[in-house]
Amino acid sequence: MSEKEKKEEVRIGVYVCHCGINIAAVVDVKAVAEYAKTLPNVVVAKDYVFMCSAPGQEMIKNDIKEHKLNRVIVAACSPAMHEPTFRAVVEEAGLNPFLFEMANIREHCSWVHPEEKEAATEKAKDIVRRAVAKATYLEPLEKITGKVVKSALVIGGGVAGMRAALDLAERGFDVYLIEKSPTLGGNAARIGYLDFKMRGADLAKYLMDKVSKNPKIHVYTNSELKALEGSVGNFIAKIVKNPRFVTDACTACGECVKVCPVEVPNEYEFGLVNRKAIYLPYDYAYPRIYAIDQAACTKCGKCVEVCKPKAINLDEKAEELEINVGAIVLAAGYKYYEPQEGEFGYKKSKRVITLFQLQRLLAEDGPTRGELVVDGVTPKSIAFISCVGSMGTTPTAATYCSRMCCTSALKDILKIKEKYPDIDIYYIYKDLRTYGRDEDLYWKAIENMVKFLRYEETPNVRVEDGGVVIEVNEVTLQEKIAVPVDLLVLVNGMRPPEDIEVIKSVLKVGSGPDGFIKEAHLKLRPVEALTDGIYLAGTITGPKNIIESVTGGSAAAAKAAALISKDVVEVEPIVSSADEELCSGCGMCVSVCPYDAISIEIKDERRLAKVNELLCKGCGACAATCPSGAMQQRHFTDKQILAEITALAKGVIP
Amino acid sequence: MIKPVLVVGGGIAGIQAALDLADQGIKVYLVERSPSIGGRMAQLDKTFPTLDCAACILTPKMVSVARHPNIELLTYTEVKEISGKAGDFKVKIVKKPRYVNVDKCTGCGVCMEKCPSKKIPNEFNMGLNNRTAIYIPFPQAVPLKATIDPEHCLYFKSIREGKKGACRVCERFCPAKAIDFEQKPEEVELNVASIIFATGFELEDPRKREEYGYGKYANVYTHLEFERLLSATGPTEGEIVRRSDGKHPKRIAFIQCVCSRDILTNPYCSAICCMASTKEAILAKEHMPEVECIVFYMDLRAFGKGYQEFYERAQKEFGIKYIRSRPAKIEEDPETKNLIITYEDTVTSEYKKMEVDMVVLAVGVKPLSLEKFFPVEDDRFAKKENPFLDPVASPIEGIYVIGMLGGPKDIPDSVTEASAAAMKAAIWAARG
Amino acid sequence: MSEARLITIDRDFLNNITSLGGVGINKCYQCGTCTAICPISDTLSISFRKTIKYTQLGLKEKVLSDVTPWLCYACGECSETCPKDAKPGEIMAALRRYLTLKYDWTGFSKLLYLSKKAEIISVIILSLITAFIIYLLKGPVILTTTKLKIFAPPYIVAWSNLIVFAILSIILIISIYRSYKMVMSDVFPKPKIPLKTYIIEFIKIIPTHFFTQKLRTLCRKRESYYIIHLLLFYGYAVIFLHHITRHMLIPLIAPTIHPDELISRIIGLSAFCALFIGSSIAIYGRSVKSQVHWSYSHSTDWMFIILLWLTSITGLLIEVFRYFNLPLPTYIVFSLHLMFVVPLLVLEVPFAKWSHLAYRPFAIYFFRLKEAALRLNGGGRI
Repeated sequence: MSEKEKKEEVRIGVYVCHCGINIAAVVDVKAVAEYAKTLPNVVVAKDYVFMCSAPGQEMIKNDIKEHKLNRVIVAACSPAMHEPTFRAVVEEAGLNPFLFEMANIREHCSWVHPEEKEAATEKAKDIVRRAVAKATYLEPLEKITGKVVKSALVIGGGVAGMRAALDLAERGFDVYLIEKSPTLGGNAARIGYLDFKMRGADLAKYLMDKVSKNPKIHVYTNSELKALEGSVGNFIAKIVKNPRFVTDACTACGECVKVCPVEVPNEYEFGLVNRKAIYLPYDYAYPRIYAIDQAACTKCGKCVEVCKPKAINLDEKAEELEINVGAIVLAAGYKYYEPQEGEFGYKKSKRVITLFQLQRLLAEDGPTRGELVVDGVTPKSIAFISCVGSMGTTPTAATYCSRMCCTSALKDILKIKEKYPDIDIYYIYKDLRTYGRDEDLYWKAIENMVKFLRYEETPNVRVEDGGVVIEVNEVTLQEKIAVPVDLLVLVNGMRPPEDIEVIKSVLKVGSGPDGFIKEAHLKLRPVEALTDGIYLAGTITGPKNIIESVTGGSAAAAKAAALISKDVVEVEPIVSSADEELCSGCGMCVSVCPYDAISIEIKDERRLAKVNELLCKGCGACAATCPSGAMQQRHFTDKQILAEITALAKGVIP
Repeated sequence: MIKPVLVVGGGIAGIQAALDLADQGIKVYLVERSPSIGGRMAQLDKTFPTLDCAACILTPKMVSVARHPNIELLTYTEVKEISGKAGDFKVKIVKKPRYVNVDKCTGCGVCMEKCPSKKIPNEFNMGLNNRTAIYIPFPQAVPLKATIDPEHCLYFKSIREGKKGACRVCERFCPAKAIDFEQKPEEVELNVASIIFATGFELEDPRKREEYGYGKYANVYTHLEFERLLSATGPTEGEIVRRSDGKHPKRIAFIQCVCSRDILTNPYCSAICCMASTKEAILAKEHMPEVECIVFYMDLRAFGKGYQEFYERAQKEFGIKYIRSRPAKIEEDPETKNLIITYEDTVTSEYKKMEVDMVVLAVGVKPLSLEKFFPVEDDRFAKKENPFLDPVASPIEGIYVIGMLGGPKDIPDSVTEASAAAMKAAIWAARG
Repeated sequence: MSEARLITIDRDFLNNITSLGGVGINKCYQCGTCTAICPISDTLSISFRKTIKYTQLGLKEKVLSDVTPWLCYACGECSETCPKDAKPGEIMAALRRYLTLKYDWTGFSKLLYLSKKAEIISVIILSLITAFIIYLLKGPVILTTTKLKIFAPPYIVAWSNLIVFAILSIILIISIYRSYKMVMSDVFPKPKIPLKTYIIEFIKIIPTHFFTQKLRTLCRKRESYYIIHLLLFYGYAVIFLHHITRHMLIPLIAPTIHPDELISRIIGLSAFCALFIGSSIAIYGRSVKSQVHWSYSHSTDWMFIILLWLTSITGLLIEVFRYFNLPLPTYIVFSLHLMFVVPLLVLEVPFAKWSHLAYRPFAIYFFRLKEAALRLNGGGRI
């Protein structure tokens, strides 16, 4: 169809809305309608008090039939307000909804120039002319649909991941839950007093029990996501199951541990004690099967000899499997901040431990069975230094606040006071952030005569025999005070997990300046990633406490459920595509696409840019970058945009 | 068969819960007691720490709610009675009469221009200006329909006094003939699988700490009032001017922990005020670069994502001063109506008096708990069945309590709780 | 101070403060409202929030060198405004009690403050000793008419007065000197304050604050309390001066002067009335806790006002019985009067609450001297 033919066929209807007094009080709507009649291809031009109302909509539908309109323009409010409304109206009358254009003469005109009626009217005319120019070159577009697979992948078997998996399973979907370490439970399984009776381990046990019993949840431990293809509603996840070297014939008898010659720090006790290369992470681990730490194992084979059920296979290889899911929930958790050697005396003295280590010491199933014994003694005095690894207190610290540490540390302090009322406790803090109803913990700590010292300048720690001396410049007294204690606990914060870079590159999600994964919108979309179909639960987006993480797990599940409960996923067709004849395969579009929606394909020995319409968000970066003009964004083609510019600048419709 | 769910409360948390349920194909009744959804977030100028325009990010969600085929929006409606159990609740709701036919009303606003009863404190603007008896709460209201406040309407007043019906001006001028004084309350019974309460919060009465002079001194404001001053859609169109003389303040003091962390009023921390005041101070500086802003605090609760950075930016980039102190009292200079704050700077241990033009009190929050329908703790926040295993569930099975009801919290946490509750409610709904 | 002060928790110190009534130290979160609402803060630049912090941290040495507790006149406004109900006013009172027992070099004060039993036993023992001495040294008992001067020979009375007065004064003066040393103990280095400053400040401060309680007028609330306190003080002062003059100085130095009996009686009677009214109101107020500064009463508070009350009522009765010429009742009530007065003076003046009459004005004096010392050192805050 030639351009001239196209132009002749165009029959435009223009409707200028009064919007009550919102537009009509400033803009002379009748004059604008009259002006529209003078523009080329405009067959009908009317004004009405409320175009979005039922009579207004009827008017459009009747006119489309009566006047055989094939383009409709409504000059009224913002498209964000009513574009979908009018597209639906136009569609009902039998016209393709993308042959509709809105001219914003309210937010862009009457509302911003309330005192300048004449100038506003002229501006409204300009805006309508622009719309007519664009409408002249509009093309019909069909909605893009994608298939939706009704299952979900949850990455991370901590409390957030388990909660999300359970919620999705209870909703009726199949869930694949993958966990990098040999057991479910995550960080919460080893730390945290939720209140004074319930610990993180109790919560983790409860969730692990429910997960293990739910037939809809398929658990893969020792597994990672290696690659991800596809897009929203239809992902193909390539999972790699790293070898555990122990089969499920394992009875967890523990004979292998006795003979294993290798010892490494036990990460499940935060380095307080060692474990062997073959180990069961902890008693309530799920699955309750031993695992061999591939990096530490010397393959000496002693364990194989003593294993009665013959469950050990040192030759086990990694396995790969492909899963097809509709939605992904990323719940990969966090890593605690490990202080540097020498930081506040850490590792230079046995009397300096981290908060996480303290929580293991206070745990009944910990290395000291819940007795607070460090370096062989129960301390008579303990100091806590807050904001270690956070708030910019040291050069290696993050700038953010780790949110959960004040409450967590104070809970431990109250627990210590309960068991050992005579221990003197000092809380040396930068700021005290017991927010919301947790303020109660601060008040209880003061009542227990915990001594609070506030610092601005990072305190200095001197290691001595049998303890440390902390020199702190107390802010409210303006005095330098030396605090000698038997034990120093560093209240360390949260960091992004170790493999965050791998996660980012596989899932194609980005991180913010704090290193954690960036959500789609900090305020209103806190559990969604910018990539459609990927949802974020728990601390992967930033520090939070256990309750907040569990809430996030359910929230992410809700978003995933909304996606996979649909049969098809619909995407607006305002996407880009490359004209194969013009495309040279240079690849510049690929590099600027923020959504990784473009790839270069080889077709007939030619390199061509191909846009994944389900991933494309219609931002236009590729179209703007394309040097040959091959890449065009539908509904915002170069021709359409140039027509608008000409209409505005030269006052004529090209 | 999928059963519907009831969401009570049309603020951002209720809106999010309704949208999440509706997106799962579940029918939602969204009940809101005021004439429009939007809640507190609609009253904010900008949100912290991103400084997004609150209305700009909220109204698209409000419009989505109105348009969503699965959401039945019931504004100006309250819940009267709940019976039954999880999976099968019977709820009696009362649709209060607007005295306006919503099918005919186009939201044109002519009635507001003509109504002679003009001296009613405008709730949306925290009483800083007045509205008429027939009113649309704010220009972006959803639904954009007028409502008559029978307490202040001259027609209804005259009926109550036993006289013949007076006024009725709105009826005469309404171009859509939408006014209907004969409307009666309508009771409807809903059968739902699950109920989510998201009724939000109000501010504590700052007169409980009378030494701060709220209500006595003209230039002492609450932070919600200050938000309205900052807003372009507010009573002063975004001009920060003093009540006493309409002048711009040169120095504004923000006082934290007013009726929070206070055994005489509320012992809990209201969580959002430190960031709200930081944001308001920054916005005040953006409006008037020469203004001096001072924040009096005890502990700066900048705990969320981006909050600490926002706090540091306020100090370094905008020069906002932070003084660690809880002022003892505020007095007024009777001539200039300036405020004199008496405080001890706890860092320098100096006793000082500071004269400022305007004081903004960061007043504590109180949940609007409907104790008739779910149990609450001593501090009136909603009881949670087991906050760790199911953080949004009330002890009554099938009933969920989200947002400020469970404890003071900001928008991202409220929205997350909303989605979490939607997930739980959806599981009930799907059981049929 | 560039050297970091070593924090050592003195558990005894903390337990003492709590048992002396300063229970709020386990509530305070250092907001500074108390210092800011205190009317005294306007005049003297003090921060008793800091004092409370020192107390919370168990920094005993810092508290001993702090004169701030004496600048407080217990109006209670801070306790009313405190957002944590930490009752800072009571903490200040507890610190005053603590400082009182610390200034005393004998250690007896500590016993009285920390043990109710010791208090009661001491009062009883002193009463009994007094009774015994009266029995030994009394003159003839004339029953036909009231001859108090014969029952209690002026010569013996005068010498007893002198001995008691001397001993108590010496003990008290030593304690005041100790308090001076403690107050100045945290000024480094020790500057040489010129003698002129010592004298000028003494003249400016001691008489005014001793006699007029001038700082108390700053307290905004409880004007009634000011009046009660004034009644007690003046009642006591008048009796004291009258007694010293009439029953000690005149008999020993100028025995020829015979002061007018009637005037003497009137002075005595009105003074005892004032004392009686004051102490009655105080006892009532403390019992029903009608005002915030009466919300807590330590045993030493009770001991003081009860002994004052008993002294004043017996004093009044002496005059009544004398007027009605009832010999035996007069002698008996006179003996009782002495049995209350002796414990009142011996226990209270150097060792218990009475001492605040001395410590307070001197504290203000030392505060000014400390300011001067810091100025000489080139700055620094109290």
